[in-house]
Amino acid sequence: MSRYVMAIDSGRCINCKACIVACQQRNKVPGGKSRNWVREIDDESRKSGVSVQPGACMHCDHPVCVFACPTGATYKGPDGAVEVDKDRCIGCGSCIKACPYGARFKNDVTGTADKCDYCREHSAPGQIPACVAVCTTHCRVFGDADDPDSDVAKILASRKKVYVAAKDCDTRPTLTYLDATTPTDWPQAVDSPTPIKLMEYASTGVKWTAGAALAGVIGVFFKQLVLPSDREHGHTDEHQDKGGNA
Amino acid sequence: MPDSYSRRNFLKLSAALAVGGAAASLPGKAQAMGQKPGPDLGPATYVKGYCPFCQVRCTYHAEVRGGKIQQIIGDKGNRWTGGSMCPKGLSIVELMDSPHRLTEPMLKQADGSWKRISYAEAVALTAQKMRETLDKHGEKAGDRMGMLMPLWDCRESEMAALITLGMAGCVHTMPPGETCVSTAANMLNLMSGTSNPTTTVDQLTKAKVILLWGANLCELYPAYSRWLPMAKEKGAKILYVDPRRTRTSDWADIQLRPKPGTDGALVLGVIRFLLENQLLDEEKARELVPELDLLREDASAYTPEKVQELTGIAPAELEGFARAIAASDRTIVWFGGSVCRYTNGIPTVRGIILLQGITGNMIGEGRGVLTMHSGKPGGEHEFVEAMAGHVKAAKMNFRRLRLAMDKKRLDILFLNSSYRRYPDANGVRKSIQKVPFVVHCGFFMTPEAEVSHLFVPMTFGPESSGSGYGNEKEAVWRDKIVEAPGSCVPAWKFYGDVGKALFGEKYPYFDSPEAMYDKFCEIVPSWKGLSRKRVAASPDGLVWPIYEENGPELLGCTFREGKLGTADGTMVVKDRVFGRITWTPPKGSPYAKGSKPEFPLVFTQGKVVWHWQHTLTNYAPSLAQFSRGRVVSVHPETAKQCGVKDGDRVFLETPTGRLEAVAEVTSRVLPGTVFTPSHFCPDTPLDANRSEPVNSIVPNSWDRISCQHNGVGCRLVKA
Repeated sequence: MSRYVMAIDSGRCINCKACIVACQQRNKVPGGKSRNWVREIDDESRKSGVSVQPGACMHCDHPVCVFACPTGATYKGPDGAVEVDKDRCIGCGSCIKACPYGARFKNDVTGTADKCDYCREHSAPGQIPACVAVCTTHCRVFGDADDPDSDVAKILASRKKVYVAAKDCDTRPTLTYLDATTPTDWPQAVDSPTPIKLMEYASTGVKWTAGAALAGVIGVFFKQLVLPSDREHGHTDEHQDKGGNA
Repeated sequence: MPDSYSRRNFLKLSAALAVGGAAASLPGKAQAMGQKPGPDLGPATYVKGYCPFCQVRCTYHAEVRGGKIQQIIGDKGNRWTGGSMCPKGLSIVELMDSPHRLTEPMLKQADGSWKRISYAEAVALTAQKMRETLDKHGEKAGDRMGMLMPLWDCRESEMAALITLGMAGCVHTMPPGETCVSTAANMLNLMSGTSNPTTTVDQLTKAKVILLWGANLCELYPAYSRWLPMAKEKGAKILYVDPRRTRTSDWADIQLRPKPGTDGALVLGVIRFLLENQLLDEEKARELVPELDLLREDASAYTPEKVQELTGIAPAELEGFARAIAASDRTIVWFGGSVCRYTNGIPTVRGIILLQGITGNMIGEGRGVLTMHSGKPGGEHEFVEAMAGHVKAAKMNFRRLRLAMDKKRLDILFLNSSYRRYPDANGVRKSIQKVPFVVHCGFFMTPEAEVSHLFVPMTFGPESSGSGYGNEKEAVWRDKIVEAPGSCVPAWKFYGDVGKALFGEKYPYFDSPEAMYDKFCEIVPSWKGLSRKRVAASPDGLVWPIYEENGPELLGCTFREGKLGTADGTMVVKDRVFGRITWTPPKGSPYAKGSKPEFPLVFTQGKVVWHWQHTLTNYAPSLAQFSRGRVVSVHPETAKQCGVKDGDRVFLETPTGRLEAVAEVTSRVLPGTVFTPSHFCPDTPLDANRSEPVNSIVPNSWDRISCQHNGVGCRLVKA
């Protein structure tokens, strides 16, 4: 099984934002919304006076968006990508609020949560993500981290890996910055919305009740299998049958 | 229903529940609130095209579904771009489908309103107006017509316009370079014998030093930025001269930030330092620059202390910079349009080219001069003459054309590009309003459309076929990708139809760009090897010239015989027309003698990534999302002196006029200077791209070749 990741060398980014427009175009992102970004902060240590940090969904290994989703539409796929099953998404916005990176938004056209999916839905076979392909300085690298021949595996093996994750909210992002990036602690833990918080408590009770009910049903099932009601009351049944036939 | 469960009944019921439960647990479709499934657009096809904006000429594959371009994907096989593109090129998709696009010809009525007319009427009216001028003024009629270039869709359109105007005796076609890079192109021609870049971009990886003199590559040519890390990985050192800290600064090993408009003093200081410190092989330097002693004289006053006084560059910085240049025997200098956008640009450009000459860096691998004024392939004049008969040399530049308008000696103006590119833009508008018949071939209701009498809607590139050319002198070809809306036509068709209506059978009418391109290759020897089939098959076109069919491309240094292209193979220091290499402050600058103390700051303007020219890109929402509107960048010290804070609304004032803007207080500009982006449009519906023309506050200053936009004194006043 492949394990897809994106690595970003912030130092190579010229902040032209072609990655944003290419993504919007490829994925039909509605106007005013974006699946990726280039953060800019004043930084006197840089010759340009600005630090830039390209980003997108971090495809976390501990994705709070997945935990926040009430329908299971958002899930961590076996190949490392955090995905949204649009057929299951009810557009409640819980995952959007939960993501500390602001990587999700509600797509007004589809009515569902939207985010970077490595351009899977809108790409022709073999196409790499639009943001990777369009980048002039190749600051974004994408591929299978478990394939030692892939560019991304090679670059991850040879460079220092840096993650953007706040201490109070370590979602274990897989999007990896190379050597250094600024800032590294910008995302903040986000409070779950009240309905989701309540659902956390309610779900415990629901689980126990449902479990007890299921155990009862299974018990009855086996009881009926081994000792059906007609056997338990065999005499009466026989009498009634006879009577019925008479 | 039995009175009690038999085992059979129980198993039946269990099975039914299991099946029902499984069915219920399958995911349903379209559960989200407000979901609107998109239409099925059918299978995708991919068609090759090229970007019309900057000179990099990125090639792409357009994904077409349902008769519309869905997305643009840079061509991976393009050796210059590696498949990258910038946001401007990608924005073509939404510009074509813009709800604000005008798609029908319109004629202005006496009350100022517009009346929709047919394309045939637009052609007939234009031909009629030209005929009236020809009949009234005979041989001198050509002087009463003018045109502002460029035409957007393809090279064949430019050619068709030149043929039609040429046959009418008109040669007053104003190149866009007059407003930015003509000075650089002309000086390069004077000094080296070619007005094109003297080498190709791939040579950067063979250079030891890359000197970006005012060339803010990452802002202006984003797709070329890839060459900077590639060159650095091969060991090249990057020197960068720019008053501002920019995207390009991060790639520089050394950046010098001279005061705007003092580059000429800096280059003379560097030349003096090299000569004084015997860091040159003078004997070798004289091979290319026999008048080295005159150059020594010209540079003698520019001691490190003098350079510091004029430019603000400290002597130690100057020394480090000069020694880095001296240490390299393979240097490519890339100069930006900015070095010649001051009235003192001529000696600056000449000085930079002479620096390349005396350090032995003009000829050979990893050496030469790159520019930002495109690499226009030759052959155009040969072709137009062959088609239209003898065509006179142009007598006017725009300065004279404007004078003709003011004196009501111009009857027809073909306004194909923005008049706002010229300084004193509001004055230029008034001049245009004196012309009795102005035709605008365009796309949106811009100030150019407003000031015209006839509007003819044009196709965007993907809506017609045709060739283009780019910075490497490469010819590229695109096929028609999608149908044009309404009555939009390519410019080659409009000018061809006007020519045919005027001159009938005498007019060399081409019914397609293919036919014209093929004829061009047949007539012009340097295009023999650039057949349409061959160019179209290449992912990034072919570099001109190729004199033989299937002949090889000639990349790298232009001077393949080891000799410059000038008459005697050397560079001139004392020129008959342009004189010696002398530096004076830009006209109107606060540094100049007699400057106005009430305008103490230096005004500068320039391109930003999200804008290309004053028109089209201002209509793209994908670009507007990044634009911050009319901002004026000012250093914190200067802001404090002006009583201005970050985010304040201010007036940027010059002796010519004033603009309202938002102050951005930043150390990315030098104290005592301001910078504002050039290319907004007052009529765009997109707030972030809307502003009055920046050139409305720039005085009408020209050097001997082109008009100038930077360096004038200005001030900031809180609004």
